Amino acid sequence: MNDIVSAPARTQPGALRASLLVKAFDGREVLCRLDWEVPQGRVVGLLGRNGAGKTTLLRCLLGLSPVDAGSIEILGEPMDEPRGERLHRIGYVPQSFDLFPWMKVGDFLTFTAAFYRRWDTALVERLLAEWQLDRKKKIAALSQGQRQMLAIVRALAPDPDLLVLDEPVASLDPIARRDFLATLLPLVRRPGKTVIFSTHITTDLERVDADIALLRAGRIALMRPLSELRAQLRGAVLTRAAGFTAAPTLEDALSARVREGQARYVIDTGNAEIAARLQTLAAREDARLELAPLDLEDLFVELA
Amino acid sequence: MRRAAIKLALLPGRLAPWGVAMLGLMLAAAVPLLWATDAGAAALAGFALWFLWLLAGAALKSIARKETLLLPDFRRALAQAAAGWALLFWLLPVLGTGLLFDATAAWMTLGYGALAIAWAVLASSGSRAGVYFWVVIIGARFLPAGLWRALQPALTGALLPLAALLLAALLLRLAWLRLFPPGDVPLPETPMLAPDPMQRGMAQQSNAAPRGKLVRRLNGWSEQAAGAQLRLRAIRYHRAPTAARQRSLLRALLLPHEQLRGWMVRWLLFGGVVLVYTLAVGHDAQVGMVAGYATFFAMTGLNTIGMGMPRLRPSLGELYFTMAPRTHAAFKAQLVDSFLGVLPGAILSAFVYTSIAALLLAPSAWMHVLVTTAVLAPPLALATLALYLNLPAARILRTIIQIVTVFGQMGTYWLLYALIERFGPLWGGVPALAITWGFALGAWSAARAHWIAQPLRFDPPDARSGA
Repeated sequence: MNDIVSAPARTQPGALRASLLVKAFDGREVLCRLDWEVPQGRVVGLLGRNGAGKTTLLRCLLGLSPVDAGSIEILGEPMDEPRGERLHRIGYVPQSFDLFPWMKVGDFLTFTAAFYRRWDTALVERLLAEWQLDRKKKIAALSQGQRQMLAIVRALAPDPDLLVLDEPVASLDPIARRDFLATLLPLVRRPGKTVIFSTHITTDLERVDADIALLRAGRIALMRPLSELRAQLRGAVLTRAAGFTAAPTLEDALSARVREGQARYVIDTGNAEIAARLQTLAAREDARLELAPLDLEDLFVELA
Repeated sequence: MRRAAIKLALLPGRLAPWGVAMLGLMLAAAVPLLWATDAGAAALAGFALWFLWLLAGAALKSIARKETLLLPDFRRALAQAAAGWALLFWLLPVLGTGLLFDATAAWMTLGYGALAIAWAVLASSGSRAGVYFWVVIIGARFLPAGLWRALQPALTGALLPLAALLLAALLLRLAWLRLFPPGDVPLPETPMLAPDPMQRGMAQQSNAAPRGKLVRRLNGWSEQAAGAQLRLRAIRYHRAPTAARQRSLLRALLLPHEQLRGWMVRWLLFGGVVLVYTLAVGHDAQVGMVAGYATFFAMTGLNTIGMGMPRLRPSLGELYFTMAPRTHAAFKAQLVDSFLGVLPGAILSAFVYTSIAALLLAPSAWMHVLVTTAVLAPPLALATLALYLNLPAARILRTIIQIVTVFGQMGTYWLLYALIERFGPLWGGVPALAITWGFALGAWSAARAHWIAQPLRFDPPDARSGA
């Protein structure tokens, strides 16, 4: 199977560039010589199965977890050191916000705001009111969803150039999730703003029309704008009376597997040769060929 | 017994295999001597049994969370395990006492043994009520002889063991409520007592947060001042950001109770313990020794830095983005320097506690104690912080270091007190000042450099792949 990582056109310095990243836990490589580049001004959805290493990748990129090998550049500077003000241009929402549990919401925001030159107090007040976050409540007393909301408020307030969100909506109810996306979109569609967020909720990625990055086997196996994926990727199904026990080899297929006796492939129709190869394969195997568009969830199931 | 009950019964052995083995050996050594009605052997056996029950309580605490109660038939399995333990380590000794002595002795062992067991379980559950027993035992020494004589018939009466049994049942109920509280558990009040990020559910929240209404009210009073201090320092730093103001703001965040109200609450709560200790042992001990103990007590708070740091790691990630340091080393330097904020509280506490000891035991020696404390407390606090800063993760090694540090603190105080007594403040105090400060500054700069040189870690302790 092939990886399809399109190199983005480099019109301005990248928001993020990772080269040959390696990260292992107890001898098991979670990131295997991973290369990834995200240009500025994009919204990127990072997809991957549970345990694929999404959180590890994001933490490594931000310098929160040391890498075993490789290099990272964030906002045009190496991530070997935090380099002061650069960190203030990054907003980060961790997967679980168990931080400062002894503090009150208001004190936490006051403390954090003291360090920032850019701090959108009006936005903070609006989100606190809309999401009914009580300033006087201790963080430990907030529900997991409310803590996630607080983490989002804190990350958005400094108007960061790069926003990294690790499953930011996992604990939010559908209303809060829609609110969050509605708040996020105008903020990030301004020039130069980049958002990377990992999620399992593919409909959210479709809603924000994100670029899709798929983390598989320790690498970015796919990185494409969603519209391009929709336009070019197709599911191909070969069916025959005897059924298939193994999917016949199809060169350049993005995935190949057998389900319910059918051989199923994901192909990139942008590759002109693969359609012809598929027809030949169907004739050789005496099978009926069907092509069907795939939504993002189908793609995730087939490719992840 | 079912498998689950057997597993529960063996849990203390799994948690502290060496402790259980040692206590088992002590019991094995004591039992043959009991046939010779040896009082020492009886004391040894009682000691071993009591500590076994302490371990059982600790084992129960390790699984105390609401989710545990949802395990199928957990209560029945626990009851069976407890019955097994009671049979072996309560009823069997009662039977032995009956065979070796008489029925009255067995009856007393039954009642007082139950009380001792309930006390052990309550003490290991984390309840401060366990401490009250010590107060009762120590306080009993101060009862007038006449009162003792008046109480004698009741103490030797057949009904008292029955009362002990009833009290034991009440204490066990208290311990159960402590371990499995029906309502919400209190929220954490200080960073160093923040929930352990690797624990979930009840255990995550059931750390050292106090549950008594008075203590919580006092802590709330201190928290108000801590919040106000944090807001004030945040405003000051935002107006004119300097490294010193940043450290001061960090101290307000990481050490919220290191302010006047926090100290006063601490003195009120722990001064009482020093007072009880002084009254209990004071008349048999020299004032320098008791003040040495009081000094050690004042330094115990420094331990929270070493113990609390791993728990802070996830919060450090947030702090890292907020502070936006130029380098990792600069970030760590700011953090480690902010820890020095615990020193004023520890030093002032040393003055308060040693003064309590001196004024209760020998008011005429108060100045002498004050001079000794003034010379020793600041460098001792700094050296102790240096030692605790890099405590190893291995529990046994950590405990050894802590024990050595405690004896070092008390021993140094006694020695300096004796030196000042012998040679006066000038010839006794000034050389000690030079030596202790030399040691403390050396230890601190080495510990600080080592802490800064360590790789920066934001993952919670023992965290593995975060995929």
